[in-house]
Amino acid sequence: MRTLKVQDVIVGSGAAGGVLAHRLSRAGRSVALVEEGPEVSKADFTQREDQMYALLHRDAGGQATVDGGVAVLQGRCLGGSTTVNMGDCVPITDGVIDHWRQHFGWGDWGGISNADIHAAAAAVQADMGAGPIPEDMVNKANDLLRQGAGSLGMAGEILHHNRVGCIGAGYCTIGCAYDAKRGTLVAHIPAAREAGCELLCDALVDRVILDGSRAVGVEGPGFRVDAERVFLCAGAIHTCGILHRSGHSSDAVGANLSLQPQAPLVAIFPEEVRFFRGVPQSYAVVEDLTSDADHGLGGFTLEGVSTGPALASSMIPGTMAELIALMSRYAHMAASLCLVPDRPGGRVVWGDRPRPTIKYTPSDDHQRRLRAAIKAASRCYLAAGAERVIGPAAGCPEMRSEADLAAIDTMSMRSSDLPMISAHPQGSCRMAPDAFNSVVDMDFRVRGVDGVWLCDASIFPTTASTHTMVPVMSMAHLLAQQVLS
Amino acid sequence: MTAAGTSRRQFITGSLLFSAAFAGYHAWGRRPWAEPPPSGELPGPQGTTLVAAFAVMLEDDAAAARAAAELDASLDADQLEQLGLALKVLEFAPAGPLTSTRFSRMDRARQTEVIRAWEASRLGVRRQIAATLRQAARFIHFSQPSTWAAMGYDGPWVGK
Repeated sequence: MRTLKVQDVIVGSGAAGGVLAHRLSRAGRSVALVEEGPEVSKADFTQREDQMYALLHRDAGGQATVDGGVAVLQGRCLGGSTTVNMGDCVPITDGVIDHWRQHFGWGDWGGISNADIHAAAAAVQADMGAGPIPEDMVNKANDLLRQGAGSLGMAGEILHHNRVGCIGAGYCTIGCAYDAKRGTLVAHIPAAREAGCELLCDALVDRVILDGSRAVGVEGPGFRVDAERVFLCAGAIHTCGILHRSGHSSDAVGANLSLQPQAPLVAIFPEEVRFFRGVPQSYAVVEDLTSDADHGLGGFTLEGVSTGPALASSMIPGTMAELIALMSRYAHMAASLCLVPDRPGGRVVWGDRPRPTIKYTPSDDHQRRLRAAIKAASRCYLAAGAERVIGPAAGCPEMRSEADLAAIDTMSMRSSDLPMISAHPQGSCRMAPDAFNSVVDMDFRVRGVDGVWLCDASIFPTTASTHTMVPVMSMAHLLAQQVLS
Repeated sequence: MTAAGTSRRQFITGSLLFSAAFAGYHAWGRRPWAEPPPSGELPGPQGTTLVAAFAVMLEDDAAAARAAAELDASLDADQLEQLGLALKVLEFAPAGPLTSTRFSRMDRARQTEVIRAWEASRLGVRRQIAATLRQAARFIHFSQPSTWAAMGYDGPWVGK
């Protein structure tokens, strides 16, 4: 049994845990950072999908909603999802923050202004060297989406990312073998360790240890960490599991889950595109993305994307013969994700099994916007010269002209027919002043127990952004400021 | 009321009990998997079902066997248990609880019909099982370097 005694124990080394470990250890606190997944470094990243999904992703990328309709991708390794994400940096907008203030009781949030939140976002982006993706790193696939959107008069933007010295290999989602992507694995955890932070990997936290109503540490198979303060940062799915196993009985734990499901769309071009090389996601069509105080984030966005052949083939509908014919044009593919912010309505349920049940049914409004997004993306690709767009759902015919897009209106949206991906689960342990409907108070403290803070994407009342890394890091930055003061 | 004075409720209850007994006979009465599964892998009969399902998905027996072995080796005990349960349903009730032929003993054409029917089934659990098997088979198959050249994919840069 490995035992540690520290002032602060942080569970999870992703966007929140990594930043907290960095801030607290560099402020002189004795810190232990506990990660369920393996300790990894760039030397481990072989760029092989079969090896890397198994090593870096939860359930080898197989975590999904109970009906199998949405694959919920999360990192399970040192650096968490920041090790396997696309590196996009999209802070919370004023519209979303104001939405939370007006509709979820965040009010003046103890004096934390929108400017404070933006400053936090700027600070964590500075840690990562984040900035706009240089024009010469926009690969052809993203450029085709941009050309198509431009010819249709649709607004778009170059995304910001956290890559420094990127060589465009294209393997961001299975670990950057060059340390160019500066997730917490590169930007925060090494500095935290230099400042004395203890690291425990392959360490699944079973529960928070309580002395009466006060937390005194965490424990799991083969280890125990005694601490004055416990910070839960295990993500919107698995933080709920730790609370469940620790006896937290509130019905609010696991409720109000948002998944922000994304549907992938593939287009085939006459010329070679090689979408699997270069920065996978550098351009987004934001024409229909909305953000305001009344509704939060709404509409949809279309983002260029790439993936290796294994994941691409698993997402494409049709028979094997059709798939082989299609994959023979793999180098001619361009792809995008139709990202549709949703409303909180799912639930994470933990029982006796080692895995949760993730209940999620897209709303009619979500499906309506998703159809519109798929149609808009198809239109962009056709305008950019695609010879055909592959219908994303089983049974949807290929689309070769504007007239064919009508098929999208009637295509099946059943979960088994339309494979979707969520890389941004949020909202299962809501932070709000209303004790009945929230798990966390406005100081990030878990209700009903002393000495436990919670900071990850689960605290957001609604979807925070089209990409949650910077919003989560911003919250961690604010929490660090709060506890250090 | 239905014939012979049997109420609708009794008729439905009787049918359900019969179906359950029939399914139970097929699933457990023959004790096809009486041997405890070896640690870390599917027991032989379930493995046979998996290979048969993958062969339909990949339309290639050798690739199916390789993919099934890869999947088998990559899952933990809990995942194996869930996969085994799904494969049991596919094996013993490929066309409903009254099916008399096990999936793995069907010819390829009939297996393909079953998988297609499951993919389009009104029952969510069938669609989910079929979709999961299809995605897993394809993921594993196309992660093999032997498939890359035909796609124009030049593989990892690391080590080059």
